[in-house]
Amino acid sequence: MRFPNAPVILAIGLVLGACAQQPPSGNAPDPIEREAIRTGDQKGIRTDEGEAIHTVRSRAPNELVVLLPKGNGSVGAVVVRSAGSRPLVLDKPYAAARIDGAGRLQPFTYDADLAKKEFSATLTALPARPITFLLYFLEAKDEPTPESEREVERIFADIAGRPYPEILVIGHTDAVGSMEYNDQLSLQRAQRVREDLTHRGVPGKYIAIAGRGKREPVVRTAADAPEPMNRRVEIIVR
Amino acid sequence: MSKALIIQREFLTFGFLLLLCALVAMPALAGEAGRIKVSKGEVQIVRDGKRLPAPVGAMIQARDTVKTGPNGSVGITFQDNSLLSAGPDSELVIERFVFDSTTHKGEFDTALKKGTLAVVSGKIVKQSPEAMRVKTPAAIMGVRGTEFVVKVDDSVTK
Repeated sequence: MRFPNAPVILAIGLVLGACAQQPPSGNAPDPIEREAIRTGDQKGIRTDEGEAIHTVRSRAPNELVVLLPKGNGSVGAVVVRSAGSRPLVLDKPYAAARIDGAGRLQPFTYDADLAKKEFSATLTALPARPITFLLYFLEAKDEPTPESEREVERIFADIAGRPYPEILVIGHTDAVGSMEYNDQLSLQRAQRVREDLTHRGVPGKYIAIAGRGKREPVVRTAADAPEPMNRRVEIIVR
Repeated sequence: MSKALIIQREFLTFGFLLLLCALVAMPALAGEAGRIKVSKGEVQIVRDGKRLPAPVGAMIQARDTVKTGPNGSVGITFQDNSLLSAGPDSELVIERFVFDSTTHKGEFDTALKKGTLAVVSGKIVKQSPEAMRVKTPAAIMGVRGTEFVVKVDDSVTK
């Protein structure tokens, strides 16, 4: 499948070698028409250049890359490099590049709805985003706080909805007590969470546990200071 | 002790360390890179020339090729939380996956030979932008933390 380049010339004002053969048209036709135009234009490529393009094209595919906005609305970047062009940075939502068989890059902006439709089977197959949950614990105990206890249902529901969930449960403590005591307590907390999850039907083989003791506080405290935010278990689900 | 003996001993120590490094590194090279989380229609893993089924939960290793049929699609979650999915009639090669779960340093190379691919980058890219690369027959995409889709149309142009 090929994509339009006439609107690119209009919108971005870039005239690359690859699209120079195509005169910009006044009205933006719908995608199917645009494809027809594109195909038509290819047949009209001048012979001196056209032969070379055709030979390469018959071996190498046409390619397309489209940058998508992330779930949270922000956008990252992709650098596209090829033999036939200078590197191209895509860093706007739906910024796209078509790459022809000769490695020539042609930047344009892809239609958001068209991208969703065109790649719908692919995007539907994307696995769920990995997620981290936090549960907080009562001081010196392997028992979650009442607030966290209520969270467990929601966490379980999320995990239950994931095919082949890989779960890492990491226990932590605050700074009260010795290193050995806290290592033990953090591991007990992690074990407690694993039991909760397995009782709710998550197979134990999916769950790995670890205790990090008081080594990784989220809130820095004085030695031996109690801190509710540090008495926690991370549940990392992939 | 003669100088020759000292050199020989150092050689042996060095050789031993090298062997140790190789042993430590081996599981990382041959081990698990990711797991299949979504598998619809016809999906296959090609590993060492053998075709394997690719159900949900199947392990993916570096150097595996994942193929989908006309109604197939597949989604893979990698150990650095990168996500890849391929649509129908696709061929995706996991060329290299190296990930240090402590430092988050790594290298992730994939190649889309044909079909469609969606990419959500993970910890490797967060730690080192462009340490994840997606190759197509005509280009290389360096990933700087993002979501994107790629299509390689290998139908011969008339």
